[in-house]
Amino acid sequence: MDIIIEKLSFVYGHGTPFAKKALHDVNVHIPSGTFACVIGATGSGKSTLIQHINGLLLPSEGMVRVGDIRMTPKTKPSEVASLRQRVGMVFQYPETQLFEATVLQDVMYGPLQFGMVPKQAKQKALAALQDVGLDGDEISARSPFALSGGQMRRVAIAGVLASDPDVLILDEPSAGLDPGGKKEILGLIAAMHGRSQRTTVLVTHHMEDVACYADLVLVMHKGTVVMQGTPRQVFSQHENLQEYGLDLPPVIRWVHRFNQVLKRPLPDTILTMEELVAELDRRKKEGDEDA
Amino acid sequence: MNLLQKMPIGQYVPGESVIHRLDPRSKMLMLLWYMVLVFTTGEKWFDYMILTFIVVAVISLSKISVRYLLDGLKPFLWILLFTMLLHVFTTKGGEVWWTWSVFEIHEQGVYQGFYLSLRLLLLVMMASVVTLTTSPLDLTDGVERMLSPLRRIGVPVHEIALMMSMALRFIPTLGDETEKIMKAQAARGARFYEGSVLRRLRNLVPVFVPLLVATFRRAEELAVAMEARGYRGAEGRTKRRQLRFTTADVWSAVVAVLVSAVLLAI
Repeated sequence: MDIIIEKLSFVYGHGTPFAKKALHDVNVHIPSGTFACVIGATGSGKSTLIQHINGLLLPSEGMVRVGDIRMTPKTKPSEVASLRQRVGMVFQYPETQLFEATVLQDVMYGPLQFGMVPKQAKQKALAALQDVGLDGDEISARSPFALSGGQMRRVAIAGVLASDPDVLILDEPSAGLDPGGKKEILGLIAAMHGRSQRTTVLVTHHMEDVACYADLVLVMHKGTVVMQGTPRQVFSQHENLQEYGLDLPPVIRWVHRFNQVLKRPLPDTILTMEELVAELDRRKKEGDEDA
Repeated sequence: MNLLQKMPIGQYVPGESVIHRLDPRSKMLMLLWYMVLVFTTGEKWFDYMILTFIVVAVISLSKISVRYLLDGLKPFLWILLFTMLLHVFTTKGGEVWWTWSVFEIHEQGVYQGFYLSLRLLLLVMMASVVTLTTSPLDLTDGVERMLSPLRRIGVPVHEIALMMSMALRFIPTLGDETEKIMKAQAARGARFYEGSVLRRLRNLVPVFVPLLVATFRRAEELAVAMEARGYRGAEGRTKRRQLRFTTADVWSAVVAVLVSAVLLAI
C-alpha cells in the first residue's frame, strides 16, 4: 500500500495549557513496496509522524492517505480501526507490551483481535516466530517474561507480524540491543522486506542501516520533513544534515577523509562497506598506487 | 502526551500570580478552613453567596483559565448529580411537590440536594485551585513541615512526605506509560472503547499486566538510583529550599479571619 501525506499538522493536547505543536506542513509520498527510513534528531517528530500512518493519531490539519483509507481532522477514531490490521506498528521497546502467559498466546493476540479463527491465528503466529528467527516448537510454550531481552524483542515483533500487515512500521527496533543483536534485527527486517510486497517504514538513528537498506529517506527537523530522496541524494548534502543534528554513515565519512590524501578521489556514490571494498578491489586490479 | 493531560484533575499549571506565590502551608490551611466554613454554614443563601464569591475571587486572582478548571471538574459532575438526586428523592419534609408511584419529591429534598451539591462543588473548585497553583514539590514540602511536630512521637514524617512526592511525581510517568502500552495494544487490534462493560474490562488485561511489570521495574530502578546517590532517609538531611511566609500570606490570613467573622455575625 502506498502512503501519501499532505500538509499534515498535529498539535498535542489541543485546547489545554499544555498544547504543543508537534508536526507542521508535512508532505510525504511513500510508494507501495518501498523501504523507507525516517531519520532526525530526538524530538524532531519522527514518532508522532509514524503514528499517523496507522491512525493512532489523527491529523489536526491536512490529510493522510494509506491505500484507500483517507484520514482528515474530521475522521473519527472508530473509522480507522480496519487500518490497524493492514498497518503493523512496532513501537520502541516493544517487549514492554508482552502480557500473555505463553509466547504463542502473546503472538496470537493480534490475529485473534483482528478476527482470525484460533487455528489460523496459531498458524500465522508460528510463521511469524519463524520470520523473526525463533524456533516456534522450542519457544512457544514458554513465558515471554522468562526470555532474554533480545528474544523478548523478537517475540514482540512477531506479535505484530502475525497479523500479516501490508505496511510495517518500526520505531527504532534495535534500540538498547547489543551490536550483534542490532545487526541481526536489522538483517531480519531487510530480509522480510525482500521476501514480501510489504511497504516498510523504519525510524532509526543508525546511518549505516539507512545507507544499506533504504530506498527512500525522510529527514525530519523541528516537526517537519526537510529532505526526502534516495540515500545517495540525502547523504550528498552533508552540510545540511549536520545542521539538522545528523551524521553521515561511517563509510561515507571514511571516504571523505581518505579522499583528502588521494590523488584520484573515490566517487562519493559509495554508500556501503560492500561498495567500498568492491571499488578498492577494482583499483587494486588496475594497479592504482593508492590502493 | 498522557491521558491525564486530556483529563486534567488538579495538574499544576506554572504561573506567577499571588495565589501561586503563597506559601503552600497557608494554601493548605486555608483550604482546610474553607472546608470547615462550607460544612458548618447553615442553609442561608447569603452565606453561600459569600462562599461562592470567595472561590470566584481566588480563581480570578490565580489567573488560571476558567475553561481549563471547569474541564477538570467534568469527571466530578456525575458524583454531584448523584448526590443531588439522592437527596431530592430521599429527604422528606416540607410540601410535597411531585409524586409518582413510590417516588415523592419534597420541598426540603430539593433544597438539601441543591445545597449539598453546591457545597461539594465549591470545595472541589477550591481544592482544584490549590493543586493547580502549587507544584507537587511545594505541596509535599508543606505537608512535611506541617506534620513535622509528629516526628517527636516517632512518625516517619520525612518518609511519608517522600512517598507522597514520589507518588505524585510518577502519576504523569505512569500516565505516559499507560498511554504508550494502550497504543501498542491498539496497534495489535485491542479495542478499548467497544463492547459491554465486562468485555471492556477484559480488554484492559493487555494494558494492566505490562503496566504492573513496568511499575515494579521502575520502582526497583528508582531505589537503586537513590541508594547510588547516597540517600539514607531523614537522618541528618537538610533542605536547600526553605519555606517562608510572606506578607501575602499574612494578608490572606487577615482576609480569612474577616470572612469568618462576617459569616459568624450574620
